[in-house]
Amino acid sequence: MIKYGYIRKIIYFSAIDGPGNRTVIFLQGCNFNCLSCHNPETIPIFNNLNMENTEVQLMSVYDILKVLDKNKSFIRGVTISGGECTVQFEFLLDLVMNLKKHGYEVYLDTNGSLEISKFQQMLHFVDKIIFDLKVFEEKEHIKLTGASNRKVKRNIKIAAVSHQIYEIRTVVIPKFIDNYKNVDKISKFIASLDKNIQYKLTTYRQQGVRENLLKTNSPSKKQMSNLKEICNNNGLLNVIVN
Amino acid sequence: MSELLDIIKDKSLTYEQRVLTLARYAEDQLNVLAIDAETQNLRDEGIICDLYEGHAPYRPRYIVPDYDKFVKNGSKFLELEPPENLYDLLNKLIILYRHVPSISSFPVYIGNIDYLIDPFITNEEDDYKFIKYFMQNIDRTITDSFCHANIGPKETVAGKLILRAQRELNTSIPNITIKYDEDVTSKELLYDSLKTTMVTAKPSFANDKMFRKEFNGDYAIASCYNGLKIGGGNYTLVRIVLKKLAEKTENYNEFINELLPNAVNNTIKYMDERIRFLVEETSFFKSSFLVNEGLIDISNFTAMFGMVGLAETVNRFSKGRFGIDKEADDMGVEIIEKIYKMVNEHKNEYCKAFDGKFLLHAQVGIDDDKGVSPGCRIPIGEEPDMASHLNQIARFHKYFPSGIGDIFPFEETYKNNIEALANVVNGAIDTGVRYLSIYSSNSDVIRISGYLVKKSEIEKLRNGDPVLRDTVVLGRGAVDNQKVLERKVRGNV
Repeated sequence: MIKYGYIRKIIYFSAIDGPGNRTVIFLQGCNFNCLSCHNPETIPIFNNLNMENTEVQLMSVYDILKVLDKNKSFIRGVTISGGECTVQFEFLLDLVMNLKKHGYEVYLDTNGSLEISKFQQMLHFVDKIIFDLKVFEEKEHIKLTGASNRKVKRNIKIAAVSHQIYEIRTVVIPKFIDNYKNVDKISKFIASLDKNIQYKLTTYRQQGVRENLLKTNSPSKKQMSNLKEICNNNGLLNVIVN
Repeated sequence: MSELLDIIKDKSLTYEQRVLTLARYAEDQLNVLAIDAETQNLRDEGIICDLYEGHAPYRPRYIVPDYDKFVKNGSKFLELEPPENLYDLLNKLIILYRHVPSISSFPVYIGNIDYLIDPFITNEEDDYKFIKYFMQNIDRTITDSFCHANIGPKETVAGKLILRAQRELNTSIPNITIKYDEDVTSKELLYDSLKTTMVTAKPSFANDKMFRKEFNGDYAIASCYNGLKIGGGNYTLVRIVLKKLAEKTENYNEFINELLPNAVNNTIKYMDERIRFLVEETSFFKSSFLVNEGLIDISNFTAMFGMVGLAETVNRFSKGRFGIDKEADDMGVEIIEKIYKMVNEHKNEYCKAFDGKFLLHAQVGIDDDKGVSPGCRIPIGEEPDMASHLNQIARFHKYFPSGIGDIFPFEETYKNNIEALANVVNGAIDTGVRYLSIYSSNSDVIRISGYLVKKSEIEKLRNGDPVLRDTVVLGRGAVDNQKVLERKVRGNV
């Protein structure tokens, strides 16, 4: 049976979703509900019943391969993002298997919360993973996202062992938590796995965020560089601030 | 006579620009070319357009000296021995550049400068300073952005120093092209070139394999993006404004079977006459030291048959839109193939570079063109996604050995991911794109069409202040009339 996915958007050329030029496929639906989400419209999980009045498209793997075909010569690979791409697990698995079959380099941009057995299954068909590790302490993670981060940390460990982590990202949100403590803990955690893993600290920006849930300012450049220094002091060799 | 006085009094001209404008005015008082009534009508209608090349051509439009020969032999006429060291070389090149004419009176080709310079490099850091001074000298003395330098395809120390100087100087002159071949050019030189173009809108990328095959060996990229033979050049460039021709009929069959062949034939006749006058009646090929010393040879000359406004022509006749619908693009190919075939069937005895043939050229437009897209380009504002765009242009690039190119501004984030740009360039070349230019959407130096201008200088000119480089005037016209600042910015869409 042909599987269909709920596709929010496809960006043909992107320079910010992994190495080289990439086509990015954004899948609809997320199992987190982050207060700081910049694209809250990607959160609702769709089914056939609520397809009216939406930009979300139902696409088969074949439809996506057809779209990618004209792009193939000009990109290094494909990144699948969301929402949270693993929410549509069956479709995603089918998609990544086919993308690999057609010679694409495949990256997943995920919050890392997938069931561990499913995550291991997925890893076979994916080149690298871009993880969001938003908060280290579980209680605070629940406060920000509405979900635990136990599986996230576990999956990061699994992907680190197989050297399949492209990058781990944390958004620095002032006032919400103690960012110095948070980044200190996350960077120690990453360093304990592999000091070469790329860690990106992203400057929080209010744009797109639901103001009724979270309203804060952006961190200063000085704060960001101090956080980077903490990561370097904890032994991380590839820390990026943006 | 009042026109003459206007030129003398014009506050926006520098002294040099004034002298050149007066010379053009004087030339245009002559009426020495044998032009028949039909051709003259087409000229008066703006369908055949010689781009203000002048009424009595007394030098070839583009001259491509063999600079290797100059470096080897020096010049008797200029009383120069072959250079002995880097400073000597750069000084002597600057002297020679002063004596290479063209339609603009400035040299449109200044050599494969990395290969010229590289054998003279002895100490990278010290030599870098000289190269930077050299590049600065060119920008301030050859004040015309059609001045074009080539680098590559092989990586050299000099090539990398030239790019570094460009990043630091951030000047619009010279235009630079890297002859790029993925199998010959190092990844480092490619990345360096991309890094540089995101700062200062150059170099552009020429498909080295494609050019080398057509030219049966080495070639030069001169002026905008024109492939020409080294040690030769181009006598004349006359274009057909397809859009204006198309406006004469509602019927595509009449256009393709009657109007177009007639206009092509008349353009060819007009070009033949310009070449005849230049070669037979003027003294250029009889007395120029460039000819006498073998820096150019008439056997390496050709002429360029130009066209503009394919998009508007197709959109007039097709149900689809050019650049978007396949049926429209197919019509575009049919029109170009027709011109290509007719132009290639014609032989001119003085165009020995390509067995008597003229070469096809997708002309980039002039500043006062309104609603006419350059060459075969998709109109600004209607550009499809970039992959579709590159696939579309590749269908046309193969017909234009003496020049066609497309321009893509990229989002600034691509500065941090040079590999992404390399993916695009390699993909484009593999797809059959001949020539492409990339720049950062927020740079001061931007590519107008085939030349570079600083946005800040356009503003200066708008305020009525004189500007050093004559091409700024053209740039202002292109910004106003051709919306070049509104090109679709690529990346992350």
